Amino acid sequence: MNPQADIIRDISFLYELALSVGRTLDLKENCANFVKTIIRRKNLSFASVWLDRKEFGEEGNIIELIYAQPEFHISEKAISHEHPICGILSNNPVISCAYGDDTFEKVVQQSGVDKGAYAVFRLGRMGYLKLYDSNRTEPFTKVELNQLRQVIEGFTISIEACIAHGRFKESNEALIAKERSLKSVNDFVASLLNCGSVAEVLEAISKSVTQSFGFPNCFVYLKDSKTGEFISQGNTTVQRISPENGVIGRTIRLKRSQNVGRTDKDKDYYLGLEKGLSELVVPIFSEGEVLGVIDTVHPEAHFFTQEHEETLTSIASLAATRIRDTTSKARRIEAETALRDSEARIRAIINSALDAVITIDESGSVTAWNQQAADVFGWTYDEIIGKTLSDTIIPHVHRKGHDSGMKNFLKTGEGPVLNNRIEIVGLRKSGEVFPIELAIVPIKLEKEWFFSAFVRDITEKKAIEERQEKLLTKLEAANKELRDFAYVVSHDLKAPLRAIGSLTQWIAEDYADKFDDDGRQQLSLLTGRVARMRDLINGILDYSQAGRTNQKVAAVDLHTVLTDVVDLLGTDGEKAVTIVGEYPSMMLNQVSIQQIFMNLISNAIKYSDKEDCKVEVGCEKQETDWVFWVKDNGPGIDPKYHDKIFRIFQTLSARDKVEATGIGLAIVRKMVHLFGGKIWVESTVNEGATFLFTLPQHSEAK
Amino acid sequence: MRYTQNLFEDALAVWNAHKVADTDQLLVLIAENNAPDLESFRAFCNEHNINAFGGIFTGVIHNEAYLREGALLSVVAAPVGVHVVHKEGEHPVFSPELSALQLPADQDWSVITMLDGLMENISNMLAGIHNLFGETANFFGGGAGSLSLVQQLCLFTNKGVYQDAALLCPIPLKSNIGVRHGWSQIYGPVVATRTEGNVVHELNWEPAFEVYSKIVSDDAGVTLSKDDFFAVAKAYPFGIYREREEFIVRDPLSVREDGAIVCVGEVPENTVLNILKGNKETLLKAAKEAGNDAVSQQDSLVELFVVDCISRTLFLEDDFSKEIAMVKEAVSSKSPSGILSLGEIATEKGSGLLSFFNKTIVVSALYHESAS
Repeated sequence: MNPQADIIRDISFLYELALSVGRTLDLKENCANFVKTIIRRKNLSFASVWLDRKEFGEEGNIIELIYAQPEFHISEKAISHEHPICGILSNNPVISCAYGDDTFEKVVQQSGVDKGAYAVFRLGRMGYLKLYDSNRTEPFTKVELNQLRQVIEGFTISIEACIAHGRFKESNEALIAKERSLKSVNDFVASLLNCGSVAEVLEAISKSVTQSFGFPNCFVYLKDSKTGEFISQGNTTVQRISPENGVIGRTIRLKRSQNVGRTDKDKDYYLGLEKGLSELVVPIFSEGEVLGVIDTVHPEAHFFTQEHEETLTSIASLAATRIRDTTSKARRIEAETALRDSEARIRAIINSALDAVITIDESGSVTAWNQQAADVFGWTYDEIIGKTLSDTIIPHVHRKGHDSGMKNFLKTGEGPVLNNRIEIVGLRKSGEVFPIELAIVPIKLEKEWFFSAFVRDITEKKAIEERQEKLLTKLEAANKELRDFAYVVSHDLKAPLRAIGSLTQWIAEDYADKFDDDGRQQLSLLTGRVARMRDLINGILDYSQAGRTNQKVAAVDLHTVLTDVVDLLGTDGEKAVTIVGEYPSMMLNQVSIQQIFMNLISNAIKYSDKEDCKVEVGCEKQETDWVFWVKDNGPGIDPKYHDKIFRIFQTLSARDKVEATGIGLAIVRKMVHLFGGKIWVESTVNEGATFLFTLPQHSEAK
Repeated sequence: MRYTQNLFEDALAVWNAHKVADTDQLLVLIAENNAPDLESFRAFCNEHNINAFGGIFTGVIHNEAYLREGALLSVVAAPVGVHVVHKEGEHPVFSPELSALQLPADQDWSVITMLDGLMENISNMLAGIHNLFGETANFFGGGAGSLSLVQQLCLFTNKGVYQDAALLCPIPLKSNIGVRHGWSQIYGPVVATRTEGNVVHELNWEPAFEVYSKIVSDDAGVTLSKDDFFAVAKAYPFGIYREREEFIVRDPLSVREDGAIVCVGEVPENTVLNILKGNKETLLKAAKEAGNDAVSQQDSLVELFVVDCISRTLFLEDDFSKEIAMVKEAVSSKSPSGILSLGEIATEKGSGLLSFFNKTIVVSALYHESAS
C-alpha cells in the first residue's frame, strides 16, 4: 500500500476524466471521449449513455441509447420509462450492484449476463450513465462512486450543453436552410422577371435548382398538348413520359410532389435521364392542370428534405404562372403575326388579282380597293375608301336596287345576286357606263357582315362577242347563199341537160339510118358527155346537200350499216369484202355514215387492178376516238396525191379508164369532218391503199 | 508450424500434405529479410489453388529463436473465411459479408488478427472489430510491417495485397491467452498534455522530448539525444494505467525535429502516463507468466502461438531465446512458434476492450476442447 501513490493515481484518473468532458459540443463525441476514458482507466468491460428523448423536444416516454462502448453489448437501443432501472434511479442518484444482488436483475438490460458488477449514475433529469465490469464479484465501492460523482455532474452539464447546442445548431441550420430556400426563391423570382419565353423560364428553373441547392441535376418536363405525353426540355436526349409511367407519372396523376428516398425500393421508379438513389419530383400546375414537372435525382439515398420539397414546390408554382403567361403571350404574338401575315397575303393576292376586288361593310362603305379596281373604275384607293358604292361606281339606274338589296340581305340573310357571277354595268369616275362581270361574296367577321365584290371589265369581251356574232350571221348567210346557188344552179342546169339528152336520144333513134358510122359514133360521144355532165351536176348537188344541219341523228349500229353496204354493193367471190373487228353503235346520221362506207368500199373495188380484189374493213378503239379503215390490195396511191384525192373534182385515172366525177372522197371528207373526225390515206404505189377515218368516242351511243 | 526458407515450394508441399477441406487456409508468416514479393507469392498460391493469407513481420519465432529470414507455414482447419477490413478516413469499413457474419454460439472461436502495424487509427480499427464480433471470440495477433518503420504492403490474401488494413480469420478453436510485458513504473505520473494519434507533442505542458529525456537521462545516467533515441528509449517505454492490469505499454520509437515523440500505438490526449523500465529478468519473468496464463492443460493443446514485440528482442538481444524458453517452460509438449510484431493484439472475451499493446508478449494456447 502506498497511500500517496493511490491518491496520485486517483487524482490522475479524475484529471483525465475531467479533461475528457466538454471538449466538444457534439453529443456523441462528448460521450465517446468520456466513456472511452473511464473504460480505459477503470478497465471496464462496457459503458453506455442513455438519454430521455424529451430532452430533444420529442414526445413519448422513451429513453434512448446515445453511445456505448463496445456497442455489441446492447441488443435493445431504447427502453421505456417503465423499465425497472428508471424506477430505481428515480429514488437513487446512483445504483451499484453485483451479480447475485436483487438490483442486478433489474439493472441488466441483456440476457446471459451472469457475472460482474454494474454502477449506474443518474444524469440529472436527462438519463443515466451505465458502467459494467465483468471481472468484479463485488459492487463498485462507495469511494469509487464518490470519486466519480462530481465528474459525472460535470459530464451531465456538458451533455445539457451539447443538447442545447444541438438544438441551437438544428434551429440555426433550419434557419439557414430557410434563408437559403427563401433566397433561392427570391433569386428565382428575380430571374423570372427577365424571362420572355418558356425556354428562359426553364433555364431559370434549372439554374436555380442546381446552383442554389447544389443539386447535381434538374430536369423539366412539359406537357405536349397533342399527345398528352411529358417531354424533357433542353436536354440532348429527349425523353417522353406518359402519365402512367414512373415516379414522374405518379406525380402527374396525383398532382402532388413525390419525394422518393430509395428509388431502388420504389416500384414505379425506372431509370430516366440520370440514375440516382433519391428522386424528387414536383408538379408544375396551374388552374388545376399539370403543365409539367421538375425532376431531380441524387446518388445518395434519402437525400431530399422537406425543405427541398417545399422550396422546389414554390419554384414550380412561380414557374407555372410564368409559363402560362409566356405561353399565352407567345400564342397571342403568334396569332397576331399569323393574322398580319394572313392579311398581307390576302392583300398581296387581292392586289395581284386580275379582277378588281372591292370590299364594303354593312353601311356600303368601301373598306378594300385593289389596284385593278382603281384601274377599272378610275377611283384611287384614297379617294374611294369610306365612300359608298352608290355614290361612286354603281350607275344611277341600279343605285336604288343596290341599297334595297343590301338592306334586304341584312334583314333576311338572302340576296339573289350573292355568290353568283352576273353581268351588269358599272360606272367609271369619268361617267362612262360599261359592262362588268360581277361576283359578290358575303363574309361575316365577328358580328359584322362584309361583302367582297370581284369585278371584271368586260367591255372588250362584249365588243369581241358582238363582232363574232355579226361575222357568224354573215357567214351563215353566205353559206346559205352558196348552198342555194349550188342547188339552184344544179337543179336549173339539170332540166336543159335532160332535154339535150332526150333530144340526142331521139335524134339517134329517128335518124338512125341517116347517120353513117362516124355520125353514130359522135352521137354516142354526145350521149356520154351528157351523162357525165349529169353525174357532175348530181355530185355538186350531193356535195352541197352533204351535212345539212337538219339531218336526223340516231343510234346506229355500224356493223349492221357495213353489212348492208356490202350487200348493196353485191360483191362476188372475186371481189371479196371482209369486215373485221367489234363495231360500236354511235349517234350519227345513218345515211351519211352509209355514204362514207359506200364511197370508200366502192372506190376500193372500182379502182382495183387485181382479178382477186380484196377489201378489208376494220375498226379499233383508241384513246379518244374510234378509228375505221378500208384497206384494199389495189394499185396504191402515190403519196404526192394523198391530199389531192380528197379535193372536189380531182381524179387520178383517165376518164376513159374509170368513170369518175372526183366528188365522192370530197363528200366523204366533208361528212367525216362534220362528225368531228378526220380522214387520211396510207399507201404506196403497187402496195394497195388504206383509207382511215376517225369518229370521236363521245359520239358512242350509251 | 513448419519453418521454411524455400517458401514457394514448401507452401505447396505443406498445403498438399495438410489440407483437409477446400475451405482450409494456409497461414503464411514471413520474416521481412529477403521476403518474397507478396504479389508474386499471391499469384503463385492462386495458380496452385492454395488458399492462403498472412503477412510480412519483423521476424518469426521458431525453435526458441527469432529469425529475421524465412517463413512459418501452417494449415488452418475449418476457418470461417479470411476477411479484409479496410479503412476509410479514420474508421474501418466492413464488407457486407463480414457485417453479416455470425459465428455459431455452440462453438469456441478464436480470431487470428493481423493488421498493418504502421497504419494510423489502430484503436478505431480494433474498436470496430470488437464491436462487430462482440464476445463471441477471443482475439490474438499482431502488427505486420517492417522494422524500417516505413509503411508498405505487408498483408495478403488470395484476393489481394494490402496495407492500411486488417486481416481476420476466425477459427473454431478455444484459446487461452496470456498477456504480459514485465515493465514497471520508475517515474510518474506525467501527463500527455498534447497528442495527435501516436505522436506525443507535449508532456506536462512542455515539449515531450525535453521532459522525457530529462527523466530517462537521470535514470540511465546517459544524455539522451535525438540521434540515438531508440537505443536508450527502448528501455524506457510509456505506461498507460489500467486498474488491476499491467500498464498498457507505448513504445517511444523516435523523436521528431520539433521534439515530439513518435510511439507505436496511439496515446490519447491528457492521458496520465508513467515512465516504465524493465530489465532482462523482469521481461523473462513476464514471458514465463504469460506462458503460464495461457497454458492450462497439456493434452488437447493444438498450438502454442507467441506474438512477441520486436522491441523486446532488441532489448533482450542474445537473451531473446531465453524468453521463448520461459514460455516453453509452461508446456513440455510443444515448442512455441510465432511472430515478432509491431504491436500486439489480444483479448479474451468478456475481459474488456480489444487492445493494442507494445513491448508485450502475447501467448495464445489453442485447444481443440474446452480448457479451464
